[in-house]
Amino acid sequence: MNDIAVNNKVKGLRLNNKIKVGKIAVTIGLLTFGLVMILPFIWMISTSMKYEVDVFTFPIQWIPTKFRIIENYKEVWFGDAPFALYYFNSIKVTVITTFFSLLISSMAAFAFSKLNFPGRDKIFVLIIATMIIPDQVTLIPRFLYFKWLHLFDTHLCLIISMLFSQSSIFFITQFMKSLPAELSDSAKVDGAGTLRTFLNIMLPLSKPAIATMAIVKFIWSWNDYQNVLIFITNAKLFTIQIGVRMFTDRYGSFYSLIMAASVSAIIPLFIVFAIGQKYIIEGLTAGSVKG
Amino acid sequence: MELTTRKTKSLRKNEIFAGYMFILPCLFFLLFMAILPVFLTVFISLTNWGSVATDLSKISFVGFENYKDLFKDATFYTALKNNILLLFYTIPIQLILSFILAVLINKYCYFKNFFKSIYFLPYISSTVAVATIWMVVLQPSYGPVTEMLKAIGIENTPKWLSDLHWALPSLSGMVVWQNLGYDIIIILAALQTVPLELYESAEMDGANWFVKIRKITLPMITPTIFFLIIYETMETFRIFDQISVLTDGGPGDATQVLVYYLYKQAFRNSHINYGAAITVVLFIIVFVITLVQWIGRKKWVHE
Repeated sequence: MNDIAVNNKVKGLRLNNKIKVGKIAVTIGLLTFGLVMILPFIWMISTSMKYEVDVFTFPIQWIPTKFRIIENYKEVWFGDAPFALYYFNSIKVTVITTFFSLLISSMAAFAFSKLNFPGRDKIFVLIIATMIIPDQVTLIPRFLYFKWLHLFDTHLCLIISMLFSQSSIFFITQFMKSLPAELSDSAKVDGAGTLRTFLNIMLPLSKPAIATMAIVKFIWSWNDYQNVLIFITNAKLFTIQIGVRMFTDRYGSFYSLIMAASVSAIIPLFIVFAIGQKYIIEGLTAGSVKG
Repeated sequence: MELTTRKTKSLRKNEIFAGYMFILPCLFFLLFMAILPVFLTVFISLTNWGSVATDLSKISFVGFENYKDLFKDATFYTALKNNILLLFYTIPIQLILSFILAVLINKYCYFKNFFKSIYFLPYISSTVAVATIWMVVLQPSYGPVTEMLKAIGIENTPKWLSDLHWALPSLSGMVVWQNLGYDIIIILAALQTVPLELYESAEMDGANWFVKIRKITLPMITPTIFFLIIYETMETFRIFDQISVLTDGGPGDATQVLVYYLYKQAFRNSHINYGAAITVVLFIIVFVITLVQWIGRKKWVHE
């Protein structure tokens, strides 16, 4: 090794160290900002475990000095506002919506990607084009349909309102198009029947795409508030989002309880997010919009 | 030979039939949940539907009466103005912040995925719950934000969401906080598509980081930025949940927006026809924005 080489190596090391220091500094900066971002959540969780008198003490007690966890949550879940029931309703609506929405979407995706029929591409483009129609534009017509069909004030309104998902159709169609045509063609020649090709070959192969859209759908149906607000008046049919709203109205200034209610509404999302992060981020970056 | 052609013919027929069967549920929803509603809404907006309630036989055309009323309605203009103000309060700051954060997360830090998740958390959280948290955090007399400001010596703290002048900015703050993560993720995805060679050759020419960002990164991801501007604009025009939970459009009409006003008119005051007219205006706005996007993509964005 000659001097120049050593010199260069030292320089390189120094540069490396410089980059490392910079990276650590940026990481700390981002961490601080990230902490600020999730501060409201931390505040929510901490407040939900406090006595009401301690809620607004300052400096803020991030970790409560006196805990009141079980009583707070018991009051939310089994008190005047039956959160257990709201939860049940939310899960019911969300699961049914997600299942049927994905079934309808993957059926259509299969047809659009692997079957040939006149007008196929035009219909596909039309479906994608209707993405620009905001939910709110269909609000009044849906209200009238449900009134006419005597479906108003049933969970079916909520489910029907959320079944049609252009983004799922688009996403799954793109995925199925990328699967080799031989797979579905050979099944066709074998006379396996289109339905069996769909169920036994295409559905299992498209699992990643379907799972992605299912999680996305789950989140938006869980969070749906507007439809419930307008189409549901029977308190027994309320879902968790409207439940939080009702709870806030009723308990006005019992902030610890209100925060316990919020925690209850958000926790399932955090769990789903923790499990399916990769899918969620992928699904949402695929150009899919809320709904 | 003839047998096989007949066989393929019948197979082909089967395939066409199957194709339509598979898209049938979708077609149904396309028709009744997307296309028909647009025409139905336009139709209702031209009638006296609201005043005759459920008696369909009494419904009659009133021409553009509802629109005439609408264009004389001060609240409608306030709602429109607030929607537009929200655009200016949220989108620029959100894009600048998310661009900076995305660039930093992409290249200059450890635990990339961890940061992605943290910043994304507010976006997937239910707006109702998030709004409820903010309601308490922004409690005007002794909420934590007020207390913190007082602690650093600011005495005349605003009343946030119940303050005539601060309600809309407070709301915007919440919107930015909730949507920031989405923009970051989208920009991060776009950054992956910028070829590394471009940076390498720029480095050889002695370009510093600022030049690299201005001359390489920004031009390469303009399509994405453009998409985000359009997307966030649409989202802003659709804002509803936060208003419903936090302010009910108030104080006064300080946070009144189009969708909330349409909801109030159509469903609380049973002026279905009036609500329909607001919906049509909303749809036209969204439609024009989409059109601008279509044309703009070709004109302003070099892909």
